[in-house]
Amino acid sequence: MSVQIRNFCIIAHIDHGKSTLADRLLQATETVSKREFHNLMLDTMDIERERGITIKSTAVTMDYTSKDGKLNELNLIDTPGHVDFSYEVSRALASCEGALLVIDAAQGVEAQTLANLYKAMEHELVIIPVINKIDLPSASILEVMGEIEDELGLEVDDTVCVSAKTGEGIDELLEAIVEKIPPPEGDPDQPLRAMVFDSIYDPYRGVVVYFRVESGILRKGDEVLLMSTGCRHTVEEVGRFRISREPCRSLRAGEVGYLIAGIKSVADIRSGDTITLAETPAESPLDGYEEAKSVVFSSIFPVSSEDYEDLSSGLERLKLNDASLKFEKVSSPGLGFGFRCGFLGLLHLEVVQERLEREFGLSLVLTAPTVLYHVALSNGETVNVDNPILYPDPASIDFAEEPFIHISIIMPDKYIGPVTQLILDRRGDNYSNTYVGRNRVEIKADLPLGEVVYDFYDKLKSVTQGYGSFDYEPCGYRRSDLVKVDILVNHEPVDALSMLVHRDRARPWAVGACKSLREEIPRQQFKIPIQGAIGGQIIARETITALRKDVTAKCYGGDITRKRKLLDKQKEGKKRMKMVGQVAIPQKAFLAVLRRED
Amino acid sequence: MKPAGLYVHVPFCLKKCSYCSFCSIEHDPGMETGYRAAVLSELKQKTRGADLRTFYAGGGTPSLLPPEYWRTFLNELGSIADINAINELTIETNPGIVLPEGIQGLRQVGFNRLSIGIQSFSPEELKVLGRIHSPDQASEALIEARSAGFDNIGIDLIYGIPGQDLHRWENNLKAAVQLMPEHISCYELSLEPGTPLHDAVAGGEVIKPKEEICIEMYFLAHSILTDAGYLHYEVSNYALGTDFISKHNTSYWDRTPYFGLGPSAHSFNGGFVRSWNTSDISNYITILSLGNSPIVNSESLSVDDMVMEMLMLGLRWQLGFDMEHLLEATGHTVNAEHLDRMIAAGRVTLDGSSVIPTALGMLYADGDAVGLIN
Repeated sequence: MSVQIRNFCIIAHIDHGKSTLADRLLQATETVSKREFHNLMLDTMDIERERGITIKSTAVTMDYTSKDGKLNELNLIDTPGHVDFSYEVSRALASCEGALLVIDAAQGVEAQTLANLYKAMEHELVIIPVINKIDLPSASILEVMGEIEDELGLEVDDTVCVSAKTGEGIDELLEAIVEKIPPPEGDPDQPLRAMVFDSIYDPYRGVVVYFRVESGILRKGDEVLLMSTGCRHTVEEVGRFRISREPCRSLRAGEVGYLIAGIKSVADIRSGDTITLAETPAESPLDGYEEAKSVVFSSIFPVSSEDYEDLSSGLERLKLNDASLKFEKVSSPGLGFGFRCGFLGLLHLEVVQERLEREFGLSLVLTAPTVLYHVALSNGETVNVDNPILYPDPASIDFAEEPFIHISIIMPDKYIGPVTQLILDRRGDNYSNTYVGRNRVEIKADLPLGEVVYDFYDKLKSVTQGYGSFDYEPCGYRRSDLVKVDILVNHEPVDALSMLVHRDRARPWAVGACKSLREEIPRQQFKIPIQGAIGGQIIARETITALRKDVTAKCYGGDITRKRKLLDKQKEGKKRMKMVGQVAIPQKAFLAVLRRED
Repeated sequence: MKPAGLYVHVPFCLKKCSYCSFCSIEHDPGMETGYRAAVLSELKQKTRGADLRTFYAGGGTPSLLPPEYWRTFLNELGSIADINAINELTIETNPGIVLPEGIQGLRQVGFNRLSIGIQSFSPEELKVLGRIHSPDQASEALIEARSAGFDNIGIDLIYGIPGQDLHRWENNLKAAVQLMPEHISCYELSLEPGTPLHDAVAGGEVIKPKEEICIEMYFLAHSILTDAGYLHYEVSNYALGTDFISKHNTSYWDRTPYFGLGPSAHSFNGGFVRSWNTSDISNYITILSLGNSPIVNSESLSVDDMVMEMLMLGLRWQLGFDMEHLLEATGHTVNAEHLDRMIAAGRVTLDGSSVIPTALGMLYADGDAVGLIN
């Protein structure tokens, strides 16, 4: 008897119950036994569970016998949910024919619901609206149905109501997946073309490549060719995703699975690449492949220089599983040895930082995130600058260009005012807005990328109370009046805090940075001037007054313990300080400058 | 057995001062009876056979207990330890307390050093501090002590009192110098949470002098008192020559062992163990009436703890700390860069391998102790 294949993903606004729904599908199809089950099966990293985001794609295959007695292979592909990872998301969506669009019965349609829906539609996926949490007393199913029809323009008849918590409606949902989502097309007799949608690093087996076969058949023992890099590998193992990997002999057109081929690092393989057979290669690769491009750059230094080796091996380890992370050694006069790193976005940066601190026990200082600038010199040369320290002498510069992006923001119309203001504050241009539904507006504009990588997304979320969805695409470089702002602590420049900004933004940035430092640097035994400067011109100034004493007047009747414990706390704090010249700067002072509220 | 100090904490006062956060309550005759017996039994528990060199009765107001009681106490002590080896016996007193037998009684039972809590010679300041005595009573107490035969008298002064200015502080210092006590302690007022004065300052009812004024007060005390012949031997303490340095308090700074009796008292065995008593006075009495130990907690010092103690205690007094001794005792060296900065800033001087704080340096004892740790 032949098996029917269905490839689908689940998309949802944050907290609408995507992961819980995935858990329930795994249980209902007995893919995972009660004994093995734990909540949020698919989110494997601590950070994913805590932040409620998915960073890596995962996949799982479920067997399901539908009411008509047919055997089905359901491949659920879980995707990252953040704009930083939008390329990865697009690859995962490209591997599916359908999507479950989960909507909270009490919350209704929200911003990310829309943004996710549009993405799924771009890939021409069949959408099954799923109203979740119908067990809640505050559930208003009829109202949400209305929104699905009016705001999303989807068929109410296709909607399935479930409670991922109680399991109600899960059987109907499984039936709907089989009925409504079409089987994958693709001819097993054509040459092999399989699209890589993610890869992970297994310390025992090397890289495990996740892919979807578009045409042809991939068998264990085949020699495969990666069409973008030209690398060849012999497939040691091919298999399907169960709750753990399950080897099989071959995968054919339409199927989703993994392969292991002695690949050492995920850097050797890129999502979106096409796998074909070395002996009988396909004529052309599948569409949509892009090189990983770093968008945000920052230098990472250990607070204690002894931790440099640990930082180095920590980055190497993360790189095994994160092909988009780029880094190279740097040395800074103030901060010693560290790494210049490239990231997909600010969230990616934060995730890397958090993992280094948490999984490798490191205490880190990160420099202000920056983007890649093109600098045309008077001698006709053009240099690319991604690090303020390397910014050429202004006298030698003809002009500088900065990257711009075309952004799209969808949100309820009542937020037009604050969002427009935010865009103008960030030097936005080519602004337009159009209604995309009742009370719902899409704003489009061009913004300098440098203004966006720095907390734009957080600001947007806060001014729209979480209802603003945001997406962007690069739209080239434009000339910009760029200046380098230096921050001097006790007359010593702190290179980690140097920043490339538009001239109009230089002073506010410097004033804010000096204020943050004044608040975070503890008073020391001498007066500390803190200055912001463009070249020799001081544009902001603060002073930390000298600490005049720190001794406690009296050692109470032999109670040495209490006093020592107070100093022990200071000693612990000292470990998280970085000496710049004579001044001890706590790590949180660097963070305060970089994460400052305007 | 190492030479050691003995401290007795007497937790009773006629009235609690507005800034006081020590373990003390207003005088309660019933509680006092229980306390007297309890301290005697703790004395027997802890100090049998100890080689004691100093004795200090502090509080609270230890002179609230009559000289007769102290006679009993010292007799008891003499029966379990060599009392003749104790060369400094100090008792604290409050000028506002009129002793039945006068200060003479204290001298007669064997105390040879008197510490008088004068705090200020200004009536306004005494009122802010909630003291029960007048400036005149303070001077009289000192004269009385002299005539009773005390030739080693210490007085306490407080600066940084709300309403105090440099001029008034100078007057206090001059009044103190005129009385020529052998020892003067000048403590900056510290506002401890939970005290009425802390709340009054927090609520803006009274205003504490600014930090820079307090620093000037510190240096004013240093210059007036050293000009008058006093030795500034610890951040808050001055003696009229080395003979009058408080031997008992010295044991806290040079890590000599000490036994602490009474509620909340701390003990140190001179090596790795510090312990302390319950600070609940009724519990203290009950525990000892059952023959149990009033120690509620203790800690074993790690090598790192010892390093911290040697630095933070050394940097607050004239002998400083010795780097060779530190190395021998703990295997630790100090952070040379930080030491260089301290020397360059005039906070310490080097004498061989000893690091000696200056008057300026003593003000930074805490931060520098942390800075010197590698």
